[in-house]
Amino acid sequence: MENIYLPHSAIVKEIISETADIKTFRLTFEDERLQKSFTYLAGQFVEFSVYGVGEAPFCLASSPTRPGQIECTIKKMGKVTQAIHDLEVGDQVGIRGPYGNGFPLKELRGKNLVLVGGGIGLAPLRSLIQNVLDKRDEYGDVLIIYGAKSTEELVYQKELEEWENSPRVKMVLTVDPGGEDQKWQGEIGFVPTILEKVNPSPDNRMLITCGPPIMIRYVLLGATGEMGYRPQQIITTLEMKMKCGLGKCGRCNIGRVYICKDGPVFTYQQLKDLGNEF
Amino acid sequence: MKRLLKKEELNRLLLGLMKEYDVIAPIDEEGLILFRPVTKVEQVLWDYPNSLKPVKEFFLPPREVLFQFKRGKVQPANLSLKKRVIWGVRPCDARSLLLLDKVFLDSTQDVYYREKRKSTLLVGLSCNHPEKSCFCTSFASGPHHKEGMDLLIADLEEGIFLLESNSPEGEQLLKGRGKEVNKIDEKIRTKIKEKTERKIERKLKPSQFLERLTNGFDSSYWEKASRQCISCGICRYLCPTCHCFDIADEEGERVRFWDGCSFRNFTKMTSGENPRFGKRERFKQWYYHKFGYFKENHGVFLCVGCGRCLRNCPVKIDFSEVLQQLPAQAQTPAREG
Repeated sequence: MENIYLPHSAIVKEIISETADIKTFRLTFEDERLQKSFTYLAGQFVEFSVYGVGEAPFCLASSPTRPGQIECTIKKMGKVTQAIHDLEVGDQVGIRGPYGNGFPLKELRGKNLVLVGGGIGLAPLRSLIQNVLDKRDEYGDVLIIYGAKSTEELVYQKELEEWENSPRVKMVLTVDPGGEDQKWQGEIGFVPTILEKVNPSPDNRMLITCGPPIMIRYVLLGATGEMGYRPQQIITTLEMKMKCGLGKCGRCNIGRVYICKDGPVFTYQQLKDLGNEF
Repeated sequence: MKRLLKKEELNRLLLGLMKEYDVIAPIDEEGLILFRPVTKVEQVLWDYPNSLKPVKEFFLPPREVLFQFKRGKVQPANLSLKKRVIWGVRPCDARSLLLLDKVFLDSTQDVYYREKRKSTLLVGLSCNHPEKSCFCTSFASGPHHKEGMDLLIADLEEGIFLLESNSPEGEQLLKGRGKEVNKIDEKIRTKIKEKTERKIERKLKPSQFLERLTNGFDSSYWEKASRQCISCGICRYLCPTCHCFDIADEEGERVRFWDGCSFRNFTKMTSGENPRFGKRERFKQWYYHKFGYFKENHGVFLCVGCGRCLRNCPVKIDFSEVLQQLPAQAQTPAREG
């Protein structure tokens, strides 16, 4: 039987600098058969190893609808992410996974979607957006509200334009007050404020959000407030200290769930049912 | 299969096992009772209060190499293990392994744990002298329970032992040894068992736990209960069912270590966020995991009532009392959620 802790060897094929401290890494498994058979769901994550430094969980920022693309967008935060940022094209890393539940595509099909992202929180949403755009007929209108602290901190800048030009997609970009530059033509304000201003109707719509915890908190409050979303209509993907990815090591246990195994994607209703720890 | 053995016959059984297996048994190591590899029958204790450390270290070692890496090549650790016997394990500790199995032998099996489990026979010794801190009978167990063991030895006192197999391997060990067990022997055994059970004074009411925990999540009770705690983590480390771990890279190898929910770093994320920053939250997590979440997910409590947590707490927190005192009604929240 498979040893669940052994990573598979992967090679860094391409590195895209997104911002001063965020890079996207495109990976290919060394084992060709694995490279061909590796499948995942939008919203799942992998454990990314730099041998000698350690292992950390990152969501897959690419979409399973684009076979062969395995991408993680990673912000330089600590020891492991520093080592990842030091990688060069051709370097070898370890990958195990995919883990977690992923976005509930079945429930999103046929519905209008609003995706609300902040900072590097756009990474898991990108996986979903690409997935939706590749199966455009299966989904309703798409509204993307994305913000960062400043214009330099917006990720996937080229792709944002592509999305905007896709059929039935509306993009609203924003930066925090003071984060704008002279060329800036988007909104100025915090993401939850802009969401309330755009005020997308909750009719036949699902809201999917990811970003810093404080942003998520205000998006949840705002959406379930005057905007009238029911907690079942809101989906978020959580960040937690995870290590094993398999519900064993215990650290991502909150309420009766393990974020790594039962999540990281939850509806707001599920989070409410779990108690007050969130 | 049940057989009656005299002390000399039991010694012969142990001696025979030592020839064939690696034997791990309780010994007195400078005043501490610990399970250690043994090679002589005389080293092994027969009548002892339960060991300081549970036997989980033989299945989930405090530090364990998962694999080595050399120039990008991953070399899995050698998992093959000589057949071994843990001799003298108490019923509470044998049962703890069945609980750990639910975590490590679920649909995603942990091969490190599984191989150790597969290569180990458990020969248990029933408990005739429980301690004041014991409460196994509150958790579907008891001092003479054979659950999880291959073979249970019951000390009928006066040098006579009743051995009962609980697996084909256990039966194999018993074959052709001692003499048949008659009704009188069984009666003596039952008497001793009942006498021992009566000695266990701590009686908890687990049926109330789930509801009280659910109601009491924000209760100010936890503030009070956790006040003395110094977050040293000894209750987690010495608990036979606590199994949380961390994984880290050391020179050339990836290693896993015991970890515990009493430590602040356990849930601290690189971003600085920490869902269980406060002592109260960390203290509480242990109770909620063992007596709430685990029960909800697996149908059993993650506790065997061995009492090590309260015997070894440096600030004398009485863990079973904390459970017993859980308020029936939700109290005012200690802080804004």
